[in-house]
Amino acid sequence: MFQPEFSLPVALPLRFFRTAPIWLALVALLAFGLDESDWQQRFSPAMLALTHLLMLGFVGNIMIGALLQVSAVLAGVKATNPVFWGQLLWLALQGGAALLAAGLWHMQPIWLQAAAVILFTSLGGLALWLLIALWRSGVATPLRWAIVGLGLTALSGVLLVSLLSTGWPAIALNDLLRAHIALGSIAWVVGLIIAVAFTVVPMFLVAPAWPSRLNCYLSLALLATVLAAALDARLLMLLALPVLSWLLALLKLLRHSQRRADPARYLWGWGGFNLLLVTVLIPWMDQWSSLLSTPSQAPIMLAAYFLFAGVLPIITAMLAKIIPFLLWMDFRLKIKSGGGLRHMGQLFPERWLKKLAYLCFSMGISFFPLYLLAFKSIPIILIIYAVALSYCIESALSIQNKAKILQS
Amino acid sequence: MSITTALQQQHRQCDEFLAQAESAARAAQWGDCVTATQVFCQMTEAHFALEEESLFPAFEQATGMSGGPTQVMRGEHAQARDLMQGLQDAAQNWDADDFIGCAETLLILLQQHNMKEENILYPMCDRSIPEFAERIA
Repeated sequence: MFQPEFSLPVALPLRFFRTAPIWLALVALLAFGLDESDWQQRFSPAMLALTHLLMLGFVGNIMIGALLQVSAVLAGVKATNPVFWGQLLWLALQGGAALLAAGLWHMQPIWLQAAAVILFTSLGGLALWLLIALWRSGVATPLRWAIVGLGLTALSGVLLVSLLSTGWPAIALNDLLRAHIALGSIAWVVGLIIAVAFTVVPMFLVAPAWPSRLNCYLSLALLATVLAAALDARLLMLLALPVLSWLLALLKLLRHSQRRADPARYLWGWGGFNLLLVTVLIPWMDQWSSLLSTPSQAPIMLAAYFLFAGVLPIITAMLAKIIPFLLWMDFRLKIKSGGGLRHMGQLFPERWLKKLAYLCFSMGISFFPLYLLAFKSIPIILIIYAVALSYCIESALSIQNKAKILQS
Repeated sequence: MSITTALQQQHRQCDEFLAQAESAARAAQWGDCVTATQVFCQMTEAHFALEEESLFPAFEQATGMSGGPTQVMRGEHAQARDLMQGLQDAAQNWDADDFIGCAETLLILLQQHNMKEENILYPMCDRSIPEFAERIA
């Protein structure tokens, strides 16, 4: 159950949310400097560095912020000193992401090892602590499996660094790599999106509750499918099944949403559709990549489409509701009635969400042609989105601060 | 009919009118919007009054819990009333941005408020003051 009074100090998740667009802007700036061959090779040092900056710096910050908030709200899970531990986690994530990207860019094993230790200790530790706390609370089952995904992603990452720098463990590199990518992108990121959707969609879009069986078993089914695909690449085609089940239920809920004109509704639908599209295309990548003049572009296209057309619209829809509602609730906990901040629309007007939504749709629709014909223009769109998102978050925070000062 | 079922129905009816009012504001149909807003506010106020003047006192008397969940619910009613006033002002002024902001906040606030009542407080009322159900049937 959603209990905002159990929320963390609002500054803690906000710290993660505010940092995310900075990483995205940095990725875009670095991407300006890439040459054509970098854009075509998924294992070029520059592309590996940018991928990890995107997944850890941009997506990671948003997902960790959301995870901390949702865990506190759904299950009352809070550390005894949340601000201290939250800041430490934030520092570890930023430091680990920067060190990992630098290590990949310059292929420096010592930097990679240091990054692996920092990220495994912080993210693995967070996953373990949250799992124990959630287990004790006895609620929020879908969240547990996403957190298992986070822990396994951190573990597979540290094993990858170890394999590359010391030759241990004796696992085929391709198998470990496939496991790391599947765990990080599907079990962790999509798993958390699904867990968050179980709470956020009925509440913010005033839609019916999710089917109870889906709520109980879907996240576990997703994790089990990812683990199966990590063990055997032929099972990748099963990934589409849990995502399809989720999308069908999501579309049904959105059809019955009482807030039909809300832009967030379309972002959820569009993002969900693209997540499904990517999971359908993954197993057949070799077949359709042979249609491209440069087949090595296929994995990059699919990964970037997953991020920009699948994850980004959903992140946008989530943040545009969660941030103003948290700030408004934070204001209301201090000032029970009246005051200059009457509603969350004063913090994050819907027209901002509409503009972000147009940007998301433009990025998703234009991504394939831009990548194939004008890849240099992709960073421009990323910078525009990063600046727009950052502007919205900072403005919302500044409006809330002004309202607090006026009231006191 | 139990207390939970009867009051749950009232919640759903109120939600529908608020959603109607929001749709009308988005379509700039201000006459419809004002009407739906008035109906929503009257229904919600009547529902709050039933709870604050009859249900909560009966529950508090039966259980001796006067500073617990009912106090939290009263606090949330006050927040909802603030937003309802904002909703009415925005509808009168034909201010779509203000109306949508108030409506969205109110919807979310009421959703989480209703969930707490339907899952925790009303079942407690059903157990401690079952005779109250006849008064709202």
